Amino acid sequence: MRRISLIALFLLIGLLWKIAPGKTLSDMLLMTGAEGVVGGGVEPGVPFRGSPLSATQCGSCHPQHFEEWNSSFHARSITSENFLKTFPQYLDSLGMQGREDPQSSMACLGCHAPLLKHAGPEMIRQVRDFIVAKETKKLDGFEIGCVACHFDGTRVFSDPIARPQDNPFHASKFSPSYKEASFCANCHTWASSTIPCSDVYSDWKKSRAAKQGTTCQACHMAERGGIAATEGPQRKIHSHAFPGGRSAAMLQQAVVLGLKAAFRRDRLEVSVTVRNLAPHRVPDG
Amino acid sequence: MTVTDETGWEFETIKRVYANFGLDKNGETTGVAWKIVKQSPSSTALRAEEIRVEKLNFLVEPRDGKQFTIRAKMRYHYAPAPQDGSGREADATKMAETVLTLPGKRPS
Repeated sequence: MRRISLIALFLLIGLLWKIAPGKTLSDMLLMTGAEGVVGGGVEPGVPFRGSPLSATQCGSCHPQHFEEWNSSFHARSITSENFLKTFPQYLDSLGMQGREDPQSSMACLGCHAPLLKHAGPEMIRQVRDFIVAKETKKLDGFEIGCVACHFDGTRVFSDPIARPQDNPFHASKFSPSYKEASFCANCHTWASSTIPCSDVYSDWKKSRAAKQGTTCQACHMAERGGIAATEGPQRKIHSHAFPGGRSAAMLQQAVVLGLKAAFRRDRLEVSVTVRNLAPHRVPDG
Repeated sequence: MTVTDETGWEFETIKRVYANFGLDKNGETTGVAWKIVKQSPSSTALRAEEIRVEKLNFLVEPRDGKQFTIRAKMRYHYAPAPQDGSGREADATKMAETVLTLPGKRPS
């Protein structure tokens, strides 16, 4: 039964793709009902899941990547406790007029809910209201999902795989930019259009690690052997768990302590050496 | 950083806070992310690849113990401590720890 449902789902996705040649992402949102979250005639709060663009559906063929991503903070970019607390505080600080301007919301949501860059002002306002009301179930699909990095608004999915395999669901295109640290700078740096809550990329650019060619991905997207998609060939693939400051393993690799001590008259003099191994501030963000 | 004797008696604990501060558009230090326009010079976060040396003094003499244990621990707090007067610390994860022992001169 599950298999039949899956096949039906894929047929539906294929059909939507087929009838939407050359459509942009915002067109796709509209077509799949996501834009209808705010549109007239569609019941408010229609979940974004169920569109061909949700991470859950990508997980049908990319289960390992999906599981890793699902454990990451990218998957909780608009539903984490911290964001649900901080975003309304930010809106309150703007006053009534600033709060109503969708561009003010986009200063945060441009990175935390990147699909909204392709959405209209009404949809941005509705997502804003869902966040303020902590209606997290209605936010499914708006987080930093697969399409945020792999979909450029056309029907082609980009990735760092040099020889992507043909498949009936989407076209694939190799892009070397995925291996460059600058790819992460879309959000992990200061930009005039966004809230400068993290500047790890600027730090990294000045670091010894950058001169040696060690990118963000080298630490935060570890490479290993595996399959990128179900029934696909063995390849070099990369973790999509994006471990960082909330990962004990990463924290324990970030800093090394050294101790020296000696008695001097009536006191004990201790010298502690704290060595930051990370090519960015610790803590950051 | 904590110094104890051979019985586990704790003489003193000294803390250093490494925190990331920013400046708002008026040049005032703020910890609020959306107000930060540039890093504050008073930020105590470790800079990229920085090696920081902390010199700490404890009022402990050799005769105070037979053996001293000096323990340095670094922990990552995800949020500030609760402001409820309880003195509780916020959830934290251990980042690094190192221990050094020194002989003392306390007679048996």
